[in-house]
Amino acid sequence: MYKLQLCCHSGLDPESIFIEYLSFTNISLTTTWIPFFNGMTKRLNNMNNFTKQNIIYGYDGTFDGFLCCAFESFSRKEIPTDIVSEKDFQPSLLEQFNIATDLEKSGRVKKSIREKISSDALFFLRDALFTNLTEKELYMLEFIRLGYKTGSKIMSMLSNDIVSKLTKAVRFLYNESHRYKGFIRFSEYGELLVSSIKPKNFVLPYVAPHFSQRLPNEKFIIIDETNKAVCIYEKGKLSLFDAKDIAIPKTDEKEVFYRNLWKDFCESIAIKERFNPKCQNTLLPKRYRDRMTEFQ
Amino acid sequence: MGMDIFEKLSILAASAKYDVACTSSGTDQSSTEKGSIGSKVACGICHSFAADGRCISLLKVLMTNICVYDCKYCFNRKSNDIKRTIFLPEELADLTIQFYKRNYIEGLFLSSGVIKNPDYTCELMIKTLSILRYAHRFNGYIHAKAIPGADGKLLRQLGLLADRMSVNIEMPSQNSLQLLAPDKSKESIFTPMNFIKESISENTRELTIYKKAPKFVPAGQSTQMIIGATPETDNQILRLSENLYKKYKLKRVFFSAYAPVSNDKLLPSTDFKPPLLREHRLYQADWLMRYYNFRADEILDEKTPNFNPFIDPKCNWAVNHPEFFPVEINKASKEELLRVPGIGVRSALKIIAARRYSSLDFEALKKLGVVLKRARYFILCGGRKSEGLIIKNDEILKALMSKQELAMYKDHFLPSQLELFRENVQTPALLSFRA
Repeated sequence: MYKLQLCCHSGLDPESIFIEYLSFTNISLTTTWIPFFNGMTKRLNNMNNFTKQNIIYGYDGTFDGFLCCAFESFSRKEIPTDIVSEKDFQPSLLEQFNIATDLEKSGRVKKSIREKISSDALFFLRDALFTNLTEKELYMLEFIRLGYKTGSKIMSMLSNDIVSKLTKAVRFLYNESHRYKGFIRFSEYGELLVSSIKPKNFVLPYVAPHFSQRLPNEKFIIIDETNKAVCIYEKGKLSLFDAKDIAIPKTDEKEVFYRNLWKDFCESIAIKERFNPKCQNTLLPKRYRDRMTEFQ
Repeated sequence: MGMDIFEKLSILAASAKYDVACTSSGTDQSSTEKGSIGSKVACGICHSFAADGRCISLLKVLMTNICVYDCKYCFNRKSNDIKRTIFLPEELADLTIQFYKRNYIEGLFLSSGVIKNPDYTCELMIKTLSILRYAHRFNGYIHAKAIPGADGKLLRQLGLLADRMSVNIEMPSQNSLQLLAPDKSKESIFTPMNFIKESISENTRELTIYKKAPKFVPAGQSTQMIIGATPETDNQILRLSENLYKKYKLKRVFFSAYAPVSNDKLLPSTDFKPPLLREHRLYQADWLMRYYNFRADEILDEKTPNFNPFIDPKCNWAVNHPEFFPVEINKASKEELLRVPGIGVRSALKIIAARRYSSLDFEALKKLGVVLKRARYFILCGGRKSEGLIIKNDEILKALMSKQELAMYKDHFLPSQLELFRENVQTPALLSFRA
């Protein structure tokens, strides 16, 4: 049978990401016009008094956790040297300030980003946290600071370094997610479909809802080896877990049968006079292939 | 026929490989209905890429490669001595579902040789699609080929089951068609094409009245033609596809570089290399017409009936229209921006969004994804040229050509001929740029 060792992520409500994502897809992406508040100018002037501090913020890796870091940064009027998630933490000589996730604080930051910048900016930041950009948290903090000055137009300020860097990282996340929608391969074990991936970004929140629409009446799991996470879909519900040591059982005859059929098909469909491995490599980079049936 | 499924699939996939279209785009739908499987995504999804670099998105097979016709360019022609076989409708439907579940494919592309007669063939296809749609409750993508000569009622049934339909016009002119496909006539191709077009527009009207009316070919129709087997010029081919887009409201026209399948006297010899570059240029021009507001007569005309092999059609247009340039990035309209080599649809939109907030310079353009290597010769930012811009023929050619094109160009022309070629592409005209 399937041997799965799961443990629920401490700080993360497993379903909230998906719920947020799904409601997000229903929202139209036009930038909302935010009325300019009179009182804001005064507060903005204060923002210039921020000082760089030799301090590292630690947080639990969740979006709410990050927003709490932003909250602290604003209330202490300081810019930390780094913001690191528990998972990536390495001992350092600098002072470490561990910030506990407080949903009330993060809620306040969310509200203010929505009002002073835009809802799009909030979703954009949430996406940015799932990217593999190094020091993404620092860029995101800069983005919020800049956004408070400029308002909703920040999303179009693509010539700005911070915005451009984050936009590119988010685009990479979207592109990789789109690719995985095609390149994921499931194997059937009884009634369960199993797939494992090794992405560069955290693509599960974008990929999994696609498959729940595609296979609404199946049971499937997708294992993300990079981020040690697994997503499970059963009876119309998606859930996300932290996962360690997942043993995938041996495939049965039926599975091998269809794998071989698929390999044969991929070979028969190529036109030999048009052989073009370079083009194939561009469109289907080699790093995806070790998990794809037709290249095994 | 006691053939196992492995052999059947190999034969019927290999027989279908010359059909180009493998797109799964154009319609969006998902359903969580009990017992159903499958969804559609408007942008389409590529599931793999074959060794020839072409996308694999659909299970592309023939119902059967048995065919009563003897079209000379076709691998499955009656007179070709190859193994013949046929899928059982249940067998093919089951295979589709098994592949779909494992995320190998986005759906099914079903074409067929003509077995017995067009109606019988069409009925077999309808049966397969009905099993998929009703027994398996399959909501994924289906592309069905209309069989020329089949009854209108059958085509209608097929269209209600499929997301996209296509009728191949096969050859870029009537003469070539008569010569190489004696069993097919111009009418037998354009009648179903017109029928599908009419049914789609009728269905659009129905859907405005009754939202739940069954959908007829919601992702539209496409067609394809073979390039290089017959003497038509690029200009003729481009005009034809422009007309097809206009007259039959096609979603896509595909081009297929002829790969030799027969040693018939009327066709190129068997050591003929598929004209891949020509096909590539046609697709580039097709893109210009569909997304860049180019007309066919702006790209090619009677005087220059064929593509310049060394330079893409957009750059070619640009170097031949120096009067249009330079374009001021901070003021130009979207249409003007789209004419600049190195600026695509996405970067044009980004420029328009970004310049609302601050005036753009060359550094900013780089961040927006503009290919400055090409664009710098054609644009001004705030009235200024790109710094250190060298307007010399060699430099410009290097900038406008890809590495491969440049190598091919140097290979092709001896030094003395280089001068001649330069006149052809009129690069000296660029020298008259004033900034």
